[in-house]
Amino acid sequence: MKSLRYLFIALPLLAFSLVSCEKMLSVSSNGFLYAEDNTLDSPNDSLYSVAGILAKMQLLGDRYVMLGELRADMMDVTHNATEPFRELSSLHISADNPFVEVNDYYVVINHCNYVIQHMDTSIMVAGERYMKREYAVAKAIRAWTYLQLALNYGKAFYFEEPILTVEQTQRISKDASLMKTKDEIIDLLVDELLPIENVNYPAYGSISKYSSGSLFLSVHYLLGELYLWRNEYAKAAAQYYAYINDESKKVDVNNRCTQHLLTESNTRTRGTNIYQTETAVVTAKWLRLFDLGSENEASAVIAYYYTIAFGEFTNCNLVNYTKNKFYVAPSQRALDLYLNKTYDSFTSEESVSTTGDLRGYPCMIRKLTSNAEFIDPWDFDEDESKMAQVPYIDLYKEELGTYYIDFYGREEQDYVILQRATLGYLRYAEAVNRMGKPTLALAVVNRGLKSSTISDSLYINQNEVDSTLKAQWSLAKFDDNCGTVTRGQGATQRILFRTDLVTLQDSIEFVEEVLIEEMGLESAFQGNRFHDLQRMTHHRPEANYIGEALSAKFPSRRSEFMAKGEGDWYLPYPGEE
Amino acid sequence: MKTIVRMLALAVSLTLLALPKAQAQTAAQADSSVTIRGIVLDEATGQPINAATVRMKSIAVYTNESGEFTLKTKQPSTMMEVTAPGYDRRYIERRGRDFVRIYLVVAQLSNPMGSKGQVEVVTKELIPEGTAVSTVEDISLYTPMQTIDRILETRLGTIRTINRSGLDDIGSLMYIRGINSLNSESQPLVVVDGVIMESYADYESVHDGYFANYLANLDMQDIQTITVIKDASSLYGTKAANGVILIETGRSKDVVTKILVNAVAGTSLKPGTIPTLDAEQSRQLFSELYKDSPYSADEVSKMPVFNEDPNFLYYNKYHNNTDWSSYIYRNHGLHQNYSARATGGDAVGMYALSVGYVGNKGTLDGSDFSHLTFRFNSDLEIAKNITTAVDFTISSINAETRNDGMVSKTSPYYMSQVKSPLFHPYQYSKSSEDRNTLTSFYEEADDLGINNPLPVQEESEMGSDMTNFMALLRPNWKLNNSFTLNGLAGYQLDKMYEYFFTPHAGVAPFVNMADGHYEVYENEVKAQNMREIRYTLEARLNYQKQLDGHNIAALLGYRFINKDRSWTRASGYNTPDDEQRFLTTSLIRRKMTGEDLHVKNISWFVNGNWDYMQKYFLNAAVSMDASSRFGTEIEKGALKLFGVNWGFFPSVSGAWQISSEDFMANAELIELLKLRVSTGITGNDDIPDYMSKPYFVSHSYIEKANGLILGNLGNPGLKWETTVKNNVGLDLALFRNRISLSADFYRHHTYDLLVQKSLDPIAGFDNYWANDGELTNTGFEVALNARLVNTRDFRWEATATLSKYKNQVTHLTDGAFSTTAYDGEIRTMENQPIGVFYGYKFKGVYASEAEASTAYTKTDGTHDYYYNMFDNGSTAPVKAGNAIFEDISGPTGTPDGIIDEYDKTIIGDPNPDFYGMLSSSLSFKDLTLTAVFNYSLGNDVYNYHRRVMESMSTLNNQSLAVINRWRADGQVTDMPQAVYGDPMGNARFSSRWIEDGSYIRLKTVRLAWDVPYKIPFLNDLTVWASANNLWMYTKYLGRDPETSVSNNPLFQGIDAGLHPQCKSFILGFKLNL
Repeated sequence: MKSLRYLFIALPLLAFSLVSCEKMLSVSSNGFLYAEDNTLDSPNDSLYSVAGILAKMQLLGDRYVMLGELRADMMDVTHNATEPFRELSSLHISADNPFVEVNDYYVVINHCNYVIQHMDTSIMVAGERYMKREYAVAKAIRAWTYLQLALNYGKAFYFEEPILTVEQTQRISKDASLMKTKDEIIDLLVDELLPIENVNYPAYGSISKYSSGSLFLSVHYLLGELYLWRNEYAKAAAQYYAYINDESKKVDVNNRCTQHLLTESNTRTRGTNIYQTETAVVTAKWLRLFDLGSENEASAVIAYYYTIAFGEFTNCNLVNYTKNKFYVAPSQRALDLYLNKTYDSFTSEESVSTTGDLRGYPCMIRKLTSNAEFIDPWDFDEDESKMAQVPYIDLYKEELGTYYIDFYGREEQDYVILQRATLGYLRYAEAVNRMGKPTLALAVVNRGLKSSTISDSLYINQNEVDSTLKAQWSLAKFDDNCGTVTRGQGATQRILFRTDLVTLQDSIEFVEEVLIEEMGLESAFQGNRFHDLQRMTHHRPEANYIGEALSAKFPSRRSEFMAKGEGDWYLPYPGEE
Repeated sequence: MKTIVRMLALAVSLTLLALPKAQAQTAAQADSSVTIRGIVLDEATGQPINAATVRMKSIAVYTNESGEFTLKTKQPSTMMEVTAPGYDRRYIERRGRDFVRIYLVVAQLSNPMGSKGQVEVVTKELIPEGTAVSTVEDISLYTPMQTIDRILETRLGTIRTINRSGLDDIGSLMYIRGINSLNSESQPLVVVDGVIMESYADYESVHDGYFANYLANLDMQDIQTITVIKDASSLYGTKAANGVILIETGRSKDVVTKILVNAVAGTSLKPGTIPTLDAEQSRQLFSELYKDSPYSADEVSKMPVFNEDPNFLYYNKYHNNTDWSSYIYRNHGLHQNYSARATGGDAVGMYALSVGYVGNKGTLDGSDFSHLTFRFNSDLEIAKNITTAVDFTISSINAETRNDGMVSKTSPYYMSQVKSPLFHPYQYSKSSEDRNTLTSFYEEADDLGINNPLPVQEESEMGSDMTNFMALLRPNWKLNNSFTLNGLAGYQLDKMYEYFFTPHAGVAPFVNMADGHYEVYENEVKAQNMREIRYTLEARLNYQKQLDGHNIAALLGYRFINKDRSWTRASGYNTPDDEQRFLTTSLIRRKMTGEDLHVKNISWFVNGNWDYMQKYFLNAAVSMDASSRFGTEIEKGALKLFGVNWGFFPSVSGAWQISSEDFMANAELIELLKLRVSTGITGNDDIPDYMSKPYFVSHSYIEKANGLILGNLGNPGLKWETTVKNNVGLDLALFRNRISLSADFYRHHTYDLLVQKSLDPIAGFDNYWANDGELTNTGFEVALNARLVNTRDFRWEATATLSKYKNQVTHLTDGAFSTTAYDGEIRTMENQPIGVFYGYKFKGVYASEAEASTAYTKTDGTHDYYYNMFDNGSTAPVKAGNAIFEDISGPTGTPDGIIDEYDKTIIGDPNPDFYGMLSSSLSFKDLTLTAVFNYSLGNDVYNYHRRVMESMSTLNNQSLAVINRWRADGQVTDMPQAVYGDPMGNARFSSRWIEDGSYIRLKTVRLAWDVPYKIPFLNDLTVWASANNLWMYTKYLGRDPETSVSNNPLFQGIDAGLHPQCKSFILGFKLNL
């Protein structure tokens, strides 16, 4: 009896002790998914993971534009600007400048690494390795992000292991062999991307106001840029053509600025005053070149979406920097570039002639108060006398129509453009020019590449084109192509070869300078300028295009800028003196 | 490890010290029965006490009419317990005597020292004799308004309690022996009837200045004893670093049905406010401030405030002299508290059933609350040797709140302080004929953007509802004379619902331009729901043996706790109108957040107690804890068993009751002399949930999609904080307990502090939680009790406690860091205590230009102004009328004439030098007058409230103190000039706002009358009256130096203007049926 009694005691105690403590202590939550359970073995998993990467990319948008523009010649700080902006503009950049932080780049890389390592690409759906598509998306984003690090810092920790623990962080950050130079990274990225250059991307349809395709980076476009950095021009040209051809991208003649100058009517019901001026109408329509819902030129963007209904969103700060807080504005150099041009009628129906490249209107004449603090557009209605005309950048935040109709239902979208058709064409031109085809390159700027141009020796030296090239550009889908410059300056043949050019090399260098200016006019304030100048300089170091451009912004510092070599432009890598 | 070795050494040496003696005595006393004779007398009168019980172990005898007794026992002990109705219990040491004379004292105020050995500890914990412990029993004697944290403040004095605010149910912060953690829980563990409570110190209310006080769920009448364990001698391993408060609720001990009824009603008076400028004074200040505002002189002159033309249509609107504080306070609050408790039972079951109601109308309009509590405690005999306790508790708290303090723009008190007296809460008629007539319409927010406090107070709808349910089963199986098996199964459910609505009427719309999106917020709605369920399972095997004077007790126990908490919070702006005060889909900027948290703990514990003849005591205990919060790969200090990491928390304590020794037989002067020593390790497992493993969270992407992003970087090495506690104590009682003293010295050393460390950017996370950093707390606690007069009719007893702790951060890996709170800077740095204020040293105001321009003497002997350095790198000379800040250092380490970051220094320490309580209890016949004071000395307070009221940088109304502001060259004052925007930073965080918060407060005075007459159906009746917070001595300029804006110990000593403690008067009676 007594022993039975002890058995009663012993049994529950034994039961307690034998149940695995590990199991007893395991906890989970509806609030998250443990990394060990995030297996990425179904299409849904991969969709969430890709959306996670894109969400983290949103952190890079502001920086992409500020590092790409404020350090270059066409953007400058205003008297409102705080120290970090002043540092970027003057290129005296300290290591504790928030724009110098690298965390956000590595967040994106780390999420890509996770997807790349864990994505089960063996799953077949409808006879296709279905998840290979998301795998490719992640690889392209990782490559773009590494390229940003490499271009900005000249080096970066290159690793493919997803970091999930503190211990991994400490181990990898101590491994000096993982610190690669810009050139090493570019080589690695080319090897990374070549195997997936022809993989189809997933099509999720529309997310919010964006078509999913515009959220993913083109691998051809990326490879084109990488080859340009390696001065491998033929490969670069081939990649850019592949991008243009695959996505049927064109420099659409219908998207000229004048088109809108003539046809836009005022349909807005509130805050109309400031948009009624002629110039403003151009602005509004020019921005619709990039309207992601329709025929568009932006082929990859970092997308933002904002609605007043919900409290949580990742904001694009560019509208703050350019307008509300007015930290940055077009530089005098940018104003000069635009205003030194003229617009002349493009077609016989038009009879417009005006000063300036119309593409500059978004940045040139907008109304701000004299002390340049942001005034709500509604206030303009009340007292226009308070305002002076101060140039500011009106590129960011395209307000959707509802904003003006229903205050409470307001929603806005905004985006930072990473890859753009016109820029693809101009970079194609950059490559073919260096391949010894300056007239072909210039045709991109003046006439547009299409069947009527490619065979016309008036515009293109026929020695520069072979049958393959002719076939490439004779496709009907390119028939609406026009010269990039014509959309802002009208007239079909704006830029002529200077008469003093003797050799082919002279012509190439002339076209290169044209392209530098044209890239600036075409894609101002979008984040490309600094690296475009760097890359052109990389093609031809002795010309020091970047030094020249910055000397135009700060004439008194010419000797300092002209003395800088390629390695002297990098940002200080955080944590290093 | 070193500590463990040290403790083992101590244990062994204590054993060796005790054993030889014990053996010698055992031999002599074995198998011989002992006869003890004695007499029990009333100490005051010397008269014998009849029918007193004298107990030695299990043998009890009664005294005869002459007070004499004879006790025979075969198992003699050194200790006798003597009780008699109406007298305090006494423990008498035999000290080898055969005849003892015992004096008893009429029961009165319990000994506030409550050191063990003098009070009965009914708690089932094995609290060893060497432990540093304080006990309170018979709570019901005290003002039933209070929650237990306030009881501990007035009864023990050795716990540092800080009232969060003066609201009656908001509770206090309690610090037992300093502050043992930087970032984790710093509040003591509270265990009610063996079940661990949740402190909710991390609970974030949706109301500004409001705290969820879980202790308000306990009705005072239900509490039997409170035992506070301050050293490492508990069985709560990783949860005990901040001390343990064990609460036992009342149970029936008698089959006779007894009914106890309490009824209390009282009133509180409205608190004082900081006097503000009247209409004329504020108009004068306006005119000075406008000088520097963006308005031109012409514009200013046209402002309606300065328009003195009585025919001006809106003259009335701008020409009032309103005392806003008179609109937000009621003159009197009303307290009511009724409770009834019935106990009784029969041979099979005993029950104690109680219900209580507290109703409170606060002096601050909108601070009313009610509590309803129900408790059913029963003890059932199920079979022979098997009993069980079955308890149920339900409590519900409904509190109405308003935003409080100087932080919230919708706090009625804030508005009443800063709103200009020129405005009026009600609109004047708009028709020009009767424009002097006031309408009943509220005035809107004024031209300066300050809201009208009246509609905010009256039309807001804010509150906090807490509901708790607890069911408890505690079976007990007596296996044989030595072994008992105890079980405990507890289920606790806590629900909290908070709602929040601020109206549009009277409130200035908030225009949000922050993210470049123009938004107007008119009214605001929030709601928060929290639910927590806890299961506790516990089993204990107890062993007890008595043998020849040796008492051995041991237990082996197991505890499993499962905690599930989920909460959601929703908020938004702009309901369709002020009548719709709830969440609707039409809101803008809708936000939903929430968490789903689960924690599990397993604990094994062993405890061994040994004593010989109640002279030598030794205890050793070990608990072994595992938690779901611990990492899986802890490098040091953890034991890996059964697939998890276990923390290991041993403790050893010993005591020597010297007065029990035979050689003390003639030292009748000395009633008690006991030495206590303890050492041990405790822990703190308040690690943020799920931090050890990496996980992904959902993140919204361009509204329509959700992405998975990495939410946490795993740190599998994460573990508890460890606190080693050492204690030496002495208990001394002299002259038949007329004077008693208890003193303790302690040292706590906490290491593996949970801190955030910075990480290489490649992971994309800036910081991670890790164990690093150390701090110490050393101090002492002394409690002295004296029974100064003890005659038949007149008795006087006084108590004083004095406590001190010295807190010091001794190691921080990533170096010093600052935390910003209320525009102030709190510095955490090595060799400094927690929470020190860091800023500029204010040294007055330059009276004249001559003084200012020569204030700085350069190295070459010439003089200059001091210069203020601004954020953008520019400087400006500090001219007359501006604040003087001390130039302490510069970039080169020497004063440089520039007032900048280098001149910041430590300007205050919120930790007190000393704290404690004083009490006096005077009895005359059936009347007892008790007074309790508490005090705190040397603690600094950051008076943010005053800073808001004296900065003179906006057009807000200011306190009367600013009339001394500098206005003309040569004026000597310490109040700087009024300049709009304060460009020279005169109001910056500096010692100007740091004050000595020392105070002594008469916390309560109470007169009780035990009605001596026989009343039919009544056993006894006590009528009492008390007055609280009647008097306070302090030099502090704010309303109440005892305040705490946050449960975070870094922010102790910040006065954000929360409701102060008010005077209150309470009348009550207590009757036994």
